[in-house]
Amino acid sequence: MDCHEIKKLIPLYLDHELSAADYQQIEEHLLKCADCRTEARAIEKSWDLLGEIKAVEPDPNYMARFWQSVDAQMPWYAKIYKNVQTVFPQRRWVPALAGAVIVVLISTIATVQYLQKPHAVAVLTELDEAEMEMVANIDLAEHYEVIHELDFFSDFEIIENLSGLETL
Amino acid sequence: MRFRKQKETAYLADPDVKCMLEVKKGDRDAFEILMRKYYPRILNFAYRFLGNRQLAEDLTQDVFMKVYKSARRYRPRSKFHTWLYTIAKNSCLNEVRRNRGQMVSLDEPIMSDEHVLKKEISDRHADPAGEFLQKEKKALIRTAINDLPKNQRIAVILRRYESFSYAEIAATLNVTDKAVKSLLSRAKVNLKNKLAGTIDLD
Repeated sequence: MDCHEIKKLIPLYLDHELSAADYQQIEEHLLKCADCRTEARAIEKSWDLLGEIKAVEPDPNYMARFWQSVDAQMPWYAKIYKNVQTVFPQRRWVPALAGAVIVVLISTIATVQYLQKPHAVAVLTELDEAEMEMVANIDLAEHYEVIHELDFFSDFEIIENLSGLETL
Repeated sequence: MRFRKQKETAYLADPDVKCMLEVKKGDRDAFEILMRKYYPRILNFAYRFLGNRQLAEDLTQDVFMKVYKSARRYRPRSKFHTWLYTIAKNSCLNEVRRNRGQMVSLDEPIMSDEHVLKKEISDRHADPAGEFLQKEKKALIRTAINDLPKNQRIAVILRRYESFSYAEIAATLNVTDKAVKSLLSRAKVNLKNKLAGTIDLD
């Protein structure tokens, strides 16, 4: 190899990125060629000089700034999901939570129904005989107002013809 | 498909890849570990490439936002850090393309942001002439880096400041090892030529 070829390989030589044979050849050449040695030293020195450009420190708030923009860019449903997630950090609890919500809903409805039962019973027991009869004969329920007002015996005939009343 | 599976498991030994897979599951703490480790490095990579501190800080935020947003689709197809630097490199190149002609270079006084400026004032020693020469020298080095073609500049920054191997640079730039050898050889000679004319290299 002549000096021109050697010089082309000096950067790789300095980085130990040559085959063993090439490396050896350049090393030997440098021992006897002052010109190539100067070239090698200049490349090495200028490379070292780059170290003068020191690193800068990140803005101390870089982490907070990052999460702020993450949260700001989140769509609304993701925000809800995230809030749920912070309350229930483990996903496997989500089906259990859904189940619990359904159970609570059903039992609330059942309890309300159950609590209303005594009231319904009380209403029934307060009814007088006529009203009881009417309840029993649920067909007449739609005419409750009429039945309630009428004088039972004199209007018996009307009751007989009750279905005819609808035409009035 | 099978090949891809094999390839993916090949990178599972990388602790950063493991961390990223935790991020994929929604673990913010895992992401903070990655940020603490890489934020300063990406910031300096961008700073040395762009030459502007504020621009570098904004770009670094963007890079990590891209990484965070892509976590859900993340598949380990390379070492984490080469993947991260590839994103950073592309962002830097986009930034340069966007700001073509209005780039502020590192050596302009505006670059010495308050933080650095204050530090320099407080560090002032009894040798103003020496200090001036030191500043001048830094400016020359910065100019020499800035004047390199983009790919050479990236290769130099990765090699000199991030201690990347040639193979890692090849993976980050998506070029062959041979191309990296050529890039770095030319870059080193370019830097020597620039700096030899202005700074005494002996």
